[in-house]
Parts: sequence; C-alpha cells; structure tokens
Amino acid sequence: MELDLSKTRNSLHQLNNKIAQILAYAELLQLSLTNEKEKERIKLIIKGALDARDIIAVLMTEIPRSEQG
Amino acid sequence: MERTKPESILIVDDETEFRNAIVAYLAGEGYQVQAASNGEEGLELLKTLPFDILLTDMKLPGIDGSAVLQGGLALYPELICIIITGYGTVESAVEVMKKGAYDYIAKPFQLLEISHVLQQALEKRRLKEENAYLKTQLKEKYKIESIIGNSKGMQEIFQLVETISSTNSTVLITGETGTGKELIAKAIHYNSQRKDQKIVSINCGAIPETLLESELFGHVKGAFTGAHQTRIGRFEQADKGTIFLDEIGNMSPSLQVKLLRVLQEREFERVGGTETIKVDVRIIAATSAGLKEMVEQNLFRSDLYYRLNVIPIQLPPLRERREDIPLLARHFIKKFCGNIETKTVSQDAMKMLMSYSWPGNIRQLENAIERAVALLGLRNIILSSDLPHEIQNSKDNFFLSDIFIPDEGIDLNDRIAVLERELILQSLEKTGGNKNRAAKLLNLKRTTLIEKLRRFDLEKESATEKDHFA
Repeated sequence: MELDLSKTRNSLHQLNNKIAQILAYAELLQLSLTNEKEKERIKLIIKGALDARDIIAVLMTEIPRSEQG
Repeated sequence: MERTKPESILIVDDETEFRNAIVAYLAGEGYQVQAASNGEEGLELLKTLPFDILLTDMKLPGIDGSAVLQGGLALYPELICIIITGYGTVESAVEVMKKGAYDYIAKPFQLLEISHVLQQALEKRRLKEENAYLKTQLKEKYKIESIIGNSKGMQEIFQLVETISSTNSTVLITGETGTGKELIAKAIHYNSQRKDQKIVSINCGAIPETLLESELFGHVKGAFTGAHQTRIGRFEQADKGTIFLDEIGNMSPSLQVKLLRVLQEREFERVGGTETIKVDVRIIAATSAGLKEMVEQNLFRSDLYYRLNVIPIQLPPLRERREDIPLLARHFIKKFCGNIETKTVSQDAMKMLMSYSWPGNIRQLENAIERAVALLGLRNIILSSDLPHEIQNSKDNFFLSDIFIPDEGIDLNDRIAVLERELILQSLEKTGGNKNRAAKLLNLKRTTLIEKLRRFDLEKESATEKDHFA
C-alpha cells in the first residue's frame, strides 16, 4: 500500500496545529502558576510539545518538495 | 519596552482555541487585542478600526492571509503585518514578505517568540517614525526662510542659495570663523534635490593629516598598522548626497591632488586599495583662510581652487551686518529659554551688543546670549552686566555706545558732526593742543585738521599750544 503524501501532509499540519494549541495553553498556565511542583510539571508538557514539534519538522522534510503546498 | 498608549493588534486565525490563547497572552502583555476567525471578518475589522499590528495565519478558509495583508496595507500603509505559517508554507510566507509583511513566525511557536517579534516590529516602526520626524525638523531648520538675516548682504546670499540649491555645482563658502558657513552649506543641501540623502561634514583642520586621507576616502583591511578591517570614508558615506569639507585650506598638497581627482572624475581609491570607487556627491567646501592668497603663495593648488570656486559665497562678518544683531539675539534668547518669548534685552545691553566688534561673529553672540540667559534667574530683562566682560569693557562701546537709532529717527549729518567734533577735541586734549600730533592721531593732514577746527569753532581750544609749538 502506497502512502498518500497529500493526506500525510494535511495530517501533519493538523497535528502541528494541535501542538500549537497545547504549547500555547501550557505556557499560559505556566505564567499563572505559583506552585513550584506544578511549574515543573508544566515545563515537562512544554518540553514534550516542543519535541513533538521538532519530530513533525523532520517528517515534513521527508515529504518530497513537489508534494508540499 | 515601556508603552504609553497600548498598541492595537488584530489576530486572524481559524483555530479557535489557539487564537484565544494568543489573545489572552497578548492582552496580558498590555496590548489591545481584537480577533477574527477568517479573512473576510479580519478585513471588515480593519475597515472599521485602525490597528498597529496585523497578525494573521497564512492558511485561512476563504480569502487567505496574503489577501488580508494586502487589504490591510491598502487601508493603512504603516500597518505592521506578521504572518503565522505552518511548516509547509514557509516559502509562501517569504513571498508574502515581498508584498510588505514585516516578518513571519512558524507555528507552533512559544509565546515569548511572538512577544519578541512584536517588540522588534514596533521598535523598528518607532525608529522609522522618529527618523521621518527628525528629517522634517532638519528640513524645517535649514529652510532658507528659517535662517536669520534681514541685512542686504544676507538677503543676497539667501537669494543665491535658493538659486544654486537646485544645481549640482560645487560651492566654496568663505567667511570668518563663526559666520555660519556650515549653516549655509546645510541650507544648500536641504533645499536641493539631494535633501533626502545625507550631508556628511568633515573639518579638514581638526583631523591630523595622516588620518584625513583615510577619513575622506576610507581604507582597505591591512592598509596600515591598525587597519583591522575595510572601512568606507566620508565620500562613500555621502554618495547620492552632499559632502561638506570645512577648513579646506588646511588640506595637505598630496590630499589636494586626490581631492582634485574626485572633483574632476568623481572617483577615487580607498587607502591601500586598487578598486576605483565612483561616487555621486555634491561638494561644498568652506574656509576662513584667504584661499586666493594661499594660491598666490603656492600653499594651495590653483587648479583645485578654481574647481572649488565654481559658486563662491562670501559670508559677511557680524560687524558688517549689525542690523541683524537684535534679530539674532532674539532668536538665541528664544533658543536658550526653551521657546519662551518673555525675556528681552535692555536698551543698554542692546547698545553694547550693537557696538561690539564680534571677532567670533555669530558663534560668539550665541555664547554671549547663552551666558546672559543662564545668569538671568527669575529676571526677564538681560542687563549689560549679564554680558561677558570682554563685551562690557570693549573700547568699541565707548566709541559707539551712543550710536543707536531711536524710533523718531536721527539726522545723520548732525550725528556724524558731533562724533567728529568729539574725536577732534579728544585728539587735541591728548596732544596738549599740538595740531601736528593731533592730525597724526586722526590720520589727517594738518591743513585738513585746521579747516575742521575752523568749521567746528574749535580754534580757541588749540590756541594755547599753537602759541608755543605750532
């Protein structure tokens, strides 16, 4: 079965948008937290989101340029 | 960054949750934030409200970010547009930047990133606005009408400046120190077609000869000890604009040759370099030295002199345009009092200002007024005692302190006769009535003095001495 590059690209975009949402709210939450333990936990969510962003960036480069929008 | 009035931002993004997060963050940062979920809505908001910043996603349902940007810029050319883009659309974001976007930011981004981008964009706009304001101020300051001088000589110079500003001809401004040579050079520049470009000034007399060449023409890396990197000179800085070479008479013979080539060909090489640099620059030179005499004494190249002296402007010393002193004094008082016009000069002080010979010209007058204003305290009138000692004690004051035209006017011949009689009396007093010596003191022939003594009925005053010495 061949991979539909266009569908893959769209899915990655959607995933990207979700990560943007997670990252933004995690950072907003971080700004309002005073509890150090909770702050540490939020940092982990942010780190996870940033790592996921980097993975998507790598995947995007794997898709042939002609297939990118 | 400190903000007085919050900047307004319009965010256009179809991702509701993401959009709300950005709105919440930027509102917390002190911005006035409005949001739209698609391009059409964004454009409608732009039509009803002026925004400082447009932050729009590139991919939108309906019209895309590029169309919103173009619509926004058409409404407000100063609008700062920042594009939010996904990974796959970076290339198209770059295309949008060519259409006028300030920057783009790739999604997902951290909140601090957007904060930095916004601050940088606002700072850039602030600098741009400040630059435009300062340019307007400079143009206003150097408008011919803003330069003070009602005397006939100055009026003729203003006329000449207006005529020659539109040309590209080289100008040579001569005049004593402090007569306003640089002011006239700037007036020429800011009234010319080059006014939006730079005027670069350099005082050839203030820079050691060894450094002047590199200052004027620049140098290449390694040209001399300490030339760690290639540096452009003043001529290159002034490209498309004007260069003002003050105290040109102080230039060494070798530099005179190089300058001559620039004047003829508008080209030169940087110190230590081989590449010929071409510049489009108008040259305005100035000197307080007698260049013509220097040419006669072989201290200044005659070919350079004639190349520079295409349009000569001779600025008169202040003592030859005394009628401008009250105007200039008023201008400087206003300048040093922060534009408050309640301070004036007493009649006695004005008489002193009018009669002083002003060897330092307008610069000296400006300093005298600055000092007087500083000494004023709560008073509103500058007294003669507020003026510098050299002006208060000047012998010019004894000679001219009574020369002042009252509102009702004077009889010139009568006033001159009174002055003449007074000087003749003083000469007789000084010489004990000796007409030979008195005539010598006045640089007159003895017979002329005797004739004047008869006319002024002063024969008695010289009679005693005449009996003994004549």
